[in-house]
Amino acid sequence: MSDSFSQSLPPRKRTVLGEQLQPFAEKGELHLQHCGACQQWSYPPRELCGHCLADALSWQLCSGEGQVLSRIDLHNSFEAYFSEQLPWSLLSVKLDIGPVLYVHGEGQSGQRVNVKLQLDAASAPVFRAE
Amino acid sequence: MSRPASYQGVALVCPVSVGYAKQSEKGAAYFIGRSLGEMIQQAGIKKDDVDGLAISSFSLGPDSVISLCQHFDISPRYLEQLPFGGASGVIAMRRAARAVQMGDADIVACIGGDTNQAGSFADLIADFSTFTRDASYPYGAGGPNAAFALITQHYMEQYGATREDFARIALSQRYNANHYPGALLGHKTLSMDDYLNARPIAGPVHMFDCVMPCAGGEGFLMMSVARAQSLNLPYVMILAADELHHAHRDDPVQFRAGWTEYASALYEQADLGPDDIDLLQTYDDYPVISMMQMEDLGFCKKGEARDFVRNTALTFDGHSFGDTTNACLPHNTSGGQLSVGQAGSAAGFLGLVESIRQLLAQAEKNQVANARHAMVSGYGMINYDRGLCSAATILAKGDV
Repeated sequence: MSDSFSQSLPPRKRTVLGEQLQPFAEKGELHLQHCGACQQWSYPPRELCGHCLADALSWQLCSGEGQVLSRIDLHNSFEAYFSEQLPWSLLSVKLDIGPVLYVHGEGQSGQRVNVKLQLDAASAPVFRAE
Repeated sequence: MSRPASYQGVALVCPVSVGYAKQSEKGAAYFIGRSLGEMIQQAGIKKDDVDGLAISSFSLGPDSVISLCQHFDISPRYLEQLPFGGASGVIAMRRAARAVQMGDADIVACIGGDTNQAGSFADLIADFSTFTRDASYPYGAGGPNAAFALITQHYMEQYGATREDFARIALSQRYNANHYPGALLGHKTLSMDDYLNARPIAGPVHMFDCVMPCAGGEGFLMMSVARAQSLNLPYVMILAADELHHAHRDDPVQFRAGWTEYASALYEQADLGPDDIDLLQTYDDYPVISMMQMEDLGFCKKGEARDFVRNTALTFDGHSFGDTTNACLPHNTSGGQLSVGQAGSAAGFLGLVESIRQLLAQAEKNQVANARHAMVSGYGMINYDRGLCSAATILAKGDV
């Protein structure tokens, strides 16, 4: 991340559920919510299983293998951190295990990528494609 | 699956568009209240004759529709608040129509109104939903620009649409806006060069693909046909209407929405086909979404909207920005949000209110000749990676 000259930090705000990614990001271990009842994966973070509504979600280690759906450069942002570093690359990736994630990183549509869970410059959890 | 019952017997009257401004220090209640005031004046009724309110607003908080009763000093027996953004107009209309049919209210004021204060748009997108807070905003994807850029990029790669194709929508709408005094950008012309050379915003999305947030109000009154006739008010009828939300939820990237599931039923209920539609109002929060609606509402096949906009004049009077125009479908005849401005939730009423004006021949310089049937489509609420709401209706001028 080319943030060494940036004065600003990325947005730190997450929901209570989003904050739960923090310890996994600190260890660099990709975790998403997995349902113990129907065995499906959910993202973005939610209160109940998005597939079967069971109260059986827990954060589980998962594979980041997936495919880039779409990729753009942002040329505009309300957040100083991004606007200081434009253009900023943004990808949407469909993981093989199901969910669609917005991620940092590089890639072209159709390309296979591996998504990692990391800390950003604000020490907040973010996904990045490699 | 059951189908919506007939909307027979209800009348849409007194379309109003009020208070448009790029920014305003006033609150949302001002724009909603001004809309209400103007429509009861047009109708020649008293404030207390309005016994129902169906309201949409992003910026009304901490107030809600019940707060407005005290602001406006009214005692309604029917209240509805519709947080559905670009689909809120058609949805408000559907709810209010049922209230009038069932006797829950006699006259419902359907209004979308929002203010736009310094920084309010940035605040809105920074915390639009829990999903955007966790999964969009930390990636620089705050607000609709990035989500729609990803959708637009994917659509272009899938179907070969080009920026020139999107331009045909934007240029035609600006031409319409040049003939509609209420449009905030109506005093400016827009050329293909202007469009193509505009400042990049996100991926293929450039300046003139984006709406300008603004303040304003849009609304109309819903009452029985009998009441409209007794008040000597010209009215519009609902021939068909439906909605479906978060359809096609397994599509990895959005390229269609709920319209596909009910468009043919709308035509059947209205006993009309796409060729009978004299004007189309789509929700144009980015031209690609208008193209999706043209496809999903049956004006062309999926992926062929690029050819449709190349071959169809989209202006109110048939003026063409296409290549070999051989057909005309007046589209977003007041300029749409792209040229009028996006007054928050009022933008979800823009096409509906404009259609009522057109069908009643109350439009001015942008009047479509012989406008008999209008289709209005709503879309909205980018909860994460796609718009969730879809709604559409077919309207016709009422019998006098």
